[in-house]
Amino acid sequence: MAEYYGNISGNKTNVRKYAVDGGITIDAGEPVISGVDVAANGGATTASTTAAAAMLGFAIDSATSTDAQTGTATDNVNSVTTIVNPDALWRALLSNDASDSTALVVCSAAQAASTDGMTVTGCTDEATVWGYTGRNSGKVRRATGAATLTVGMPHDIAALDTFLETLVAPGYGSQMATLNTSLTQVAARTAVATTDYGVFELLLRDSANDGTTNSFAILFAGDHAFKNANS
Amino acid sequence: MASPSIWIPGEAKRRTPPLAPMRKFGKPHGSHIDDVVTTKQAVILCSDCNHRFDAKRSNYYKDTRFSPVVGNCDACRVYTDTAQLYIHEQYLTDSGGRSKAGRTWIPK
Repeated sequence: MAEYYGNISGNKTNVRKYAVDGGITIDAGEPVISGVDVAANGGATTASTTAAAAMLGFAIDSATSTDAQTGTATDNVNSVTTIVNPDALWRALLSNDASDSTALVVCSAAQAASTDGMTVTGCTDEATVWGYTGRNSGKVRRATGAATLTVGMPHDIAALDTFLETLVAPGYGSQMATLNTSLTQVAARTAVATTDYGVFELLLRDSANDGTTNSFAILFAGDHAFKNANS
Repeated sequence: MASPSIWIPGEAKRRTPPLAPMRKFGKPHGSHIDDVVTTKQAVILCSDCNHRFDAKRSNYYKDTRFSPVVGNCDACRVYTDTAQLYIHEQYLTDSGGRSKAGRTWIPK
């Protein structure tokens, strides 16, 4: 589940409550988008794994609305509490695939020795690669091609050292994130050039800190509804 | 000619506040807070209303990491930049939520 991490600006957190569209359930940690004038929706609604145009923010609680009256004193429409700062940051777990909490898989279990520290077996072009075990644990580099790094690791790579990789990278418009189907975690090995989930920072960890299940991406809204407001 | 209004005078501030989402018009403050607590949604309270909310009894966590926040008070509906935010403990990692990072909200 994605967690609120703070704001880029350091400004105060702005919290609003928006009515949720009928037939929609928004869970905590999910992005919330404006439903107004979009397919005639009746309120805030959910985003998709790669698109969140006119994002209102991220939900910090859950809400469900129904189109029909409930027939009781209970309102059929509920509101979802949303942090609406355009520069809000969210920490999302890096999952190996589109399923939640899948441990990251090492680039190769059969890493060959590399005396110049430039060759990581099995890593993907344009990936961010970091050492998981071995002398280069915790060292982060970028790949320029399959199994080739842009800048060499600081130490020789020994046979059977292991490395992890992710295809998301900080910077708007480059390698932005694809969310999992739960919309609360990041599919670490899937990158999309045109998406609304920008990556602000990567929090990567090695084997001493459970890096396969304890590495995160810090996300921000690439297309926020209030993006023209001063944050 | 009347001068343009660029400042909300005290009289206007005392007028009936606008409708709040999901709140029945005229509903007492405490009754509405009870409704919010029932749905386990976040509670936003201004400094005047803050002391009236028993967070522990309601199983809410008082966030202090990002406090104060900006928003409308769930009780009196005033817009303030010194509000206190309360998160229901179901959105924290463990009961009480103080020992680990939160699931949605990271406790201090």
